[in-house]
Amino acid sequence: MRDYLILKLQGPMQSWGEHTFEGKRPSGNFPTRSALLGLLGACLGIRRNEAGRLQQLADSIVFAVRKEERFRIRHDGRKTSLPIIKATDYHTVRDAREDYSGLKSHETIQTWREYLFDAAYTVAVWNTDVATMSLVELEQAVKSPHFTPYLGRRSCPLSRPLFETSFSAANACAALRMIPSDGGVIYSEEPGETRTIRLRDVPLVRQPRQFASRNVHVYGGDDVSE
Amino acid sequence: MKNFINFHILISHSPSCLNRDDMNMQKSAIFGGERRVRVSSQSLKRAIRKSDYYRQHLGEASVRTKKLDELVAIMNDRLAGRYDAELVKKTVALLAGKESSVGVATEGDAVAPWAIEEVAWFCEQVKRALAQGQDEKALGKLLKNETAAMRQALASGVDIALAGRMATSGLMSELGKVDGALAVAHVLTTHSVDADIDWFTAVDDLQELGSGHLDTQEFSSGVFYRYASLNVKQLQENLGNAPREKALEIGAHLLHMLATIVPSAKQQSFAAHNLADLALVSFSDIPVSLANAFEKPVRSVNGSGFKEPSIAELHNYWQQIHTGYGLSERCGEFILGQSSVPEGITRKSTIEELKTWVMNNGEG
Repeated sequence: MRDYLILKLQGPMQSWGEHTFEGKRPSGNFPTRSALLGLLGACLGIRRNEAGRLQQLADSIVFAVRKEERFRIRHDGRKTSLPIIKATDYHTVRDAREDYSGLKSHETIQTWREYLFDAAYTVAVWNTDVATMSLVELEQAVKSPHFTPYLGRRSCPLSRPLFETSFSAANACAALRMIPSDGGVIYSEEPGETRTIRLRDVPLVRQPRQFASRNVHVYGGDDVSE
Repeated sequence: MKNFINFHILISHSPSCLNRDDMNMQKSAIFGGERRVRVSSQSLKRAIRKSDYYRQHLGEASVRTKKLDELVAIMNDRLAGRYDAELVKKTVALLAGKESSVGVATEGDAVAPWAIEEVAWFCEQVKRALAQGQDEKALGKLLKNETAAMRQALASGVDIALAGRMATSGLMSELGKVDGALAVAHVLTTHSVDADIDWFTAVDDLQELGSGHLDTQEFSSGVFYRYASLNVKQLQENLGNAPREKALEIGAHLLHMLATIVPSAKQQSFAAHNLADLALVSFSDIPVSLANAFEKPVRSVNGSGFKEPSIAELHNYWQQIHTGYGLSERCGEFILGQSSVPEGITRKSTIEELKTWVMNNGEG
């Protein structure tokens, strides 16, 4: 048995950034490891330049995320699925650069930012063997955050508190199954007899905006195109 | 001490098109499986930042630009009589990590907000360093230990303290990064909205038959939910450890602007200059939006319109989330008309009274 902290990520709009230059800003289909570390780091009050504490946090915790299956009841009583919609928001930004080369100058650049609508996630967090930040400390932080927590973008607020519960369970999937749900694919850092995908979303703390890869183990669902 | 002030606003707009996408359609979102009209947070924030109320009560907004030579000219103009032109130019170059020179367009790496008093503060430091014969490197090192004093200089440019700044070059990349204290959500309608398309012609007075121009314009009316949260400690810190009272005063002004300011897009054609019907403010340990009150889109029942059922849903949901999560909050509300407010919310009969309540730390 191991201790788990369960968080809920709910809000009408979310955006879990993938690799990008400034013009195009895509979102993944579920929160990246870098996003979750950033979210918890914000709650703990770790500043962007505190590399030591950021690394300490990264070394202390492991995640499993369930992308919640959702349904709605229609007027006539039919139950239909409520899919996550990925939509692109269009913006102009005055006087910004379009890419990192800095060679071209533009009066106004166009940006396309992806958002997820009708998404909801349940996250199980647990400690590694070498953890120096406890789940109790994290629980306190998400209940009374230091910096403003948000769902990938500052303009995507929480629509309920992050904290759901904490308890012991045999493994991450078992922990998530203890939280009532209509189902959904689980993307876990805990290996099992299942499919594995490779994601490049592990922040290299001392090299900002650089990422390493990790294995994500997918439990349930047919689609591994994430 | 509750660290977050959450603002929940319901504002009804007559037909309008306040925020458009690249297809010239209204910005929209899917929420609860149905289409809503949306006003982006950037659009609302800019309208607030550029408003007369902002200038009167929070001071001049910073200049957001990467045009360094034009910036130097503006700073020279504003700081004339305090610092000589050469010093201002040197200071801006140091901050931006780039020199500007006459007749050559010089651009910084990115759009960054520049606050006048902040530049003045740096001018003072550069002047002092030059007088002591220090070079730029030594100055940079010296200033790293004075971030609190520098933040103090931001106090007259509340803009950056609220909205934040990600600077990437020059001295600013070390000293100038500020995490904003205010988070503003995208504004969504509480109900689903179908597109209305206005087909219009523009008459050419010098043309005898037909019209000079044909086009279409999407528009709609709606009840919008606005949400923003202010991180009070963060704002205090960004303002150079300002007292809580100062942050609360800014919070009261934010409330006023969130309840009254409307983006200007297409307003010459639509004039949807509407004020909020409801403003609910909570002092809380955690920033939580009440948008889920409208996840099931509000429906008009027997010609009720959307405003009253939206207010009822917001109150209903507030009660649920408040008890469901055992939130310890202090709540105050201004609401137009006769509607009652739930137990646990202090009712204020004018927006001014609610502002005073915010300034009093949610008491009284």
